Amino acid sequence: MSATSKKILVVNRKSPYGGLRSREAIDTLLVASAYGLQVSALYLDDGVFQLIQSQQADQINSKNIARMISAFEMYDLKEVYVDASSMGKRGIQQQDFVIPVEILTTEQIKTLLHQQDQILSF
Amino acid sequence: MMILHLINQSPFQNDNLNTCLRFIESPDSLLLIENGVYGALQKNPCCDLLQSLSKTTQIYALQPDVLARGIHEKLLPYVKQISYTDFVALSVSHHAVQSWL
Amino acid sequence: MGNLLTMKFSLIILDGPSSSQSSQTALAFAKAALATGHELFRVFFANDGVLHGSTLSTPPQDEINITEDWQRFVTQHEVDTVVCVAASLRRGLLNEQEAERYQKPAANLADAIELAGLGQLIEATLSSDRVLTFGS
Repeated sequence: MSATSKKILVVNRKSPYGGLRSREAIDTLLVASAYGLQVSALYLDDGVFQLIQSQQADQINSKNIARMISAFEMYDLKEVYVDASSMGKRGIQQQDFVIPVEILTTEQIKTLLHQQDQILSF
Repeated sequence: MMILHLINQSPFQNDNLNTCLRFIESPDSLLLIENGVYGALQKNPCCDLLQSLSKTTQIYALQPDVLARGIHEKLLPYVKQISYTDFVALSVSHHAVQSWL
Repeated sequence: MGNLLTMKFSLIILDGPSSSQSSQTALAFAKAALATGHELFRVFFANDGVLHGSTLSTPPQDEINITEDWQRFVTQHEVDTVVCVAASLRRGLLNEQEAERYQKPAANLADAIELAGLGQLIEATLSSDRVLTFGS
């Protein structure tokens, strides 16, 4: 297997503010994508809150996480997956999101996880 | 692909173990470390799910973390206690390691 | 991918030396990996984990100094060890060069540890057989 054909998944389970983990995950995704790697992002549990487009982070003097995520398209990072069950539990719908995503069932996420060469969590 | 799932937080504290249990499947393995070893207690919020998982999947707990917390006599019978060397060996025998943080 | 008996590991450490047990778990794992003949390709400290690079950590004398233990370990085994530069500057961890550039009164990064960007994390992910993340 050549190094660049490795599939890397970044798993995001943390809410957008109250720590810098979400930002470091986004930075890692952007750098990996800029290097031309096969990288994808999975948002589940409180991580789905990162994608909400109506964030007004300036209210708490923070950089807007949703706006950072909206750069994914520019970086050609198109494989963005979200756990349907986490959305359902939180009353969040696809139209709440800042970018187009692919919504996956539990079974589909199992498959996704098992396709990866490396899984990174932040 | 076999995944080694790592849990390092107590199931009394947050959903990490619960979420992991949604996605783990044979031939994956589960390793409880640090405060994650509280998930190996006979009485814990995930013990029913762990009971059914144990039929197809090996569940491990890092022994130094179990002993440090004084809970070695209260563990689920099917949880196997292992050393750091075993932890390394499991990381080798599985294809990827997923830390549920 | 390397042969199954000898593997290249990289470790990502996200928590600070005193914010959780992760620092000690990761060090015990790293020691066990080397002791069983495996290779450590890189240790990458990100987020609060970068505080492992500080030469100024001074816990009470009856406690272990995990920061020093890490620095001794990576020095002794010549492990390629990186602290994320953005995370480090934000938390006041600087080498001589950065201290001069930003006109700060002191540098506090251990000699054995390099300041570098996330590219080093990506490279470690590509070049290693296994990557483990320690944090909370």
